[in-house]
Amino acid sequence: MNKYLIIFLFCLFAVNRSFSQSNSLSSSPYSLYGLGLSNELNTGKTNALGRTGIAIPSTTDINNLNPASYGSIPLNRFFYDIGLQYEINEMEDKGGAESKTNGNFSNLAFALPLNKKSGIGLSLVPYTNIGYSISQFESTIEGSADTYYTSINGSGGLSDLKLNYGYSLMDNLRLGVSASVLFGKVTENETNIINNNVLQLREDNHYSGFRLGLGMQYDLSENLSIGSIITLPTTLDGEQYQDIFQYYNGTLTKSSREENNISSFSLPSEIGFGFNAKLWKELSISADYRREFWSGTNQTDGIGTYIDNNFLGLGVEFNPGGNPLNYANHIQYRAGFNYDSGNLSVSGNPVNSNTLSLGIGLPVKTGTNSMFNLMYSYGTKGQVSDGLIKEKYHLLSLNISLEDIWFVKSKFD
Amino acid sequence: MLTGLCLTSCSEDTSTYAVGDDWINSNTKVIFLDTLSVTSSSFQFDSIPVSATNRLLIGAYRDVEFGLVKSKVFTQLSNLVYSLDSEATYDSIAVILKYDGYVYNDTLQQQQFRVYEVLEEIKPEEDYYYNTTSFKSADNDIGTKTFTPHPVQEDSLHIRLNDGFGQELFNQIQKKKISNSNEFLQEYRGLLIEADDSNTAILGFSSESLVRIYYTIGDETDDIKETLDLGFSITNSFHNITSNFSNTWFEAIENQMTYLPSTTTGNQTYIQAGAGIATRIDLPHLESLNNINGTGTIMEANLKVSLKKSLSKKVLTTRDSLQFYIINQRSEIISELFNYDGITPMGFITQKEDEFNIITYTVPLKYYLDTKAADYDGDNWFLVMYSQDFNSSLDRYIFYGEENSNAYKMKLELTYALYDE
Repeated sequence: MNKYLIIFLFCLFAVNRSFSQSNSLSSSPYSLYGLGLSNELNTGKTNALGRTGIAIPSTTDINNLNPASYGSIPLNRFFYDIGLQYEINEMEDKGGAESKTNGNFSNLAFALPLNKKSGIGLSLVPYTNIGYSISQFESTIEGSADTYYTSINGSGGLSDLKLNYGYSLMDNLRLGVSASVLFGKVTENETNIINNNVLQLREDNHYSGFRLGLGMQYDLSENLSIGSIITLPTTLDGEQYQDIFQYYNGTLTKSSREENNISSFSLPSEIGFGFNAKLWKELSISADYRREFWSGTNQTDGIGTYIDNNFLGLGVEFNPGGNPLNYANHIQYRAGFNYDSGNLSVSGNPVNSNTLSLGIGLPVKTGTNSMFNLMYSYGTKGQVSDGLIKEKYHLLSLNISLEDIWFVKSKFD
Repeated sequence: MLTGLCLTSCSEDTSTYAVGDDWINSNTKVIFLDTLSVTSSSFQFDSIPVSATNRLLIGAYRDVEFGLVKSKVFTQLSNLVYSLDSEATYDSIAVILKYDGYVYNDTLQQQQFRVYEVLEEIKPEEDYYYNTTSFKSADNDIGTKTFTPHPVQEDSLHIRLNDGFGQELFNQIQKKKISNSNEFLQEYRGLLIEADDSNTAILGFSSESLVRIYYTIGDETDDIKETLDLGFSITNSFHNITSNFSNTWFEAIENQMTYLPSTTTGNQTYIQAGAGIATRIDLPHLESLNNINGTGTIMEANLKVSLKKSLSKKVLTTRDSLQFYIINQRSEIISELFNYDGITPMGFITQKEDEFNIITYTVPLKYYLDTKAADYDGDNWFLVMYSQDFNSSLDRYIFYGEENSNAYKMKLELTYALYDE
């Protein structure tokens, strides 16, 4: 076995633990709606490329954005990817401003070729994140002049355990299929302080579902590829456990658990197109467009309504090249931009976001594709008017993208 | 390095923010209700136990609302030593009643007490003396006292008894016909001390009251004054309280299941300790809370009861708290009222408006309502509101009933939280 595999397995265990606990990958009040904020981070280098990658193959690392890319994994290679993230959120509404940070795993993935023409991979990526906490807001006791205080915090999120399979139909045409198991828990804790008494509600909403995706990548030439994806709509079934605790002058007087039926949550279909072009030997660019048909799910939320969202991303990568013995020549430089029109509309205002990202890929050593992919992105979301919140976020991510070479005997063994 | 990263990458949430609280979609709604029905009535316990009270009540007074109430005391006397010097000569005998400070109504008028010999053995019925327990007594008194009470300035009241009675008792002891308690109780069953109907006050006396024989031992040079005390028995002394309800609402009472709804007694309810008059409070239709949409729970429940002070003269003092019990439909006490912390809640004064002579008592009822709702027989539970010292005072209270139109009507205030609409 290989040391990378041991590390990977250890991390898988750790991630599983942290996923199953209250994994706050988000600290955004926007995670209040639906099942939380969609996770934008993924494997490999795509984070820094404006989150584009529909047309990018998986020849040196795992590109999880299109299952068709798995058809391009070279023989005898084994890829791992461990992602970590750290986020600083600055929020502002008409009432004031605040800042919050959090850090966690952002993904785990591995992939391997099955034969010359096909590859397979498994990834565990957060699908949505929930992290909000609102303290001591005051409400009136109906029928009196007295008030009570409520604190609410939400945590949890859904994970996407995805099996990807890619197949090279022709040398320049790859097809892929992915099967996702989406699962997770959305927890909301609510504490009401009513005079000397406390009513505590804890809701655990468990969701699970299955989702299929299809992908295609086509190399028009050696330097230009296009790709597309389709993700099928699905429904996540939910079940809720509600715990109720009541304290009267400090004494626990009620403790009960109820199992409630909650409505299932619909995920819309999604389509996406992208291209990846090598302009020069050193410079390549990529662009993706995706659209999620949220309005078709006919779902509403307390905050706003769901609308179709458009996603546009652009990415540039620069490889200096030159003398391969010089480490610096292996460093990759990336930059990207993306725009997300948002799937939520609050009183007619869509909550869109813009993100600028910069990244650097540092090879573990020369002569390998194993790389530390560092990324910094700065984004804004919402606005400080019409009841919206303006959120600025600084996101740092590190993807440890490792390559092993298997089944090849070392000549010097 | 990798493992280090793995270990340190747990999430951290440090601050909380108010940003976004407009969006919070709380599942909870809290409402305040004071319109739930309360039904109150007055009734009288058939009897209340009065064994071993520290205070013995003697007196009588006529009350506009409650009629004539009288309290008399039956007491057994006892001593450890029954011996007198053969040279001693009898002087006098008196009952010495030690004031304990309790007075009710008008003490400025002249009062009269009379003392009788009891002709039956004073013993409890089924282990208890009740305010209704009585024993046969002699027709003629062995002492009377007409006096103006000074329970503060004086520490006791002396009632001189018949010397014939005293000499006889003295002789029997001196001649050793009585040398122990048994022999004494064979001859002297006890005393009854009662008040005249025309009295205007109820007076409280300590159970350390006694009968004292005064005698002299002649000496060659001087006479020495001595006394022999026969104390009131702590276990076999009690007060008997009777009422004459003529021309009052209580005339209608037949037994403790006769309930006088406040709506038929001038929108008032009553308490008279000692006599056993209490206020019963029914909180029916609590199930109507279930008609509110959603699942809910009682966060707080308080009963508010206001004293009708305009009817309570200054000499008719009231206390700063009230006692509560749970009774069944036959007015039998099921238990004390409890709270979640195991402490018996009292109704304490929460509002005092001297200008309007209003005192409002509040008692927490959350535990009562929760257990009443959970008990299979909870529909037959009622609250009884009673005075402190219910077996050793004659304190009376008059409360606003639930049908009064003013703010002081009897009402239940509920804070109810709906958590699942």
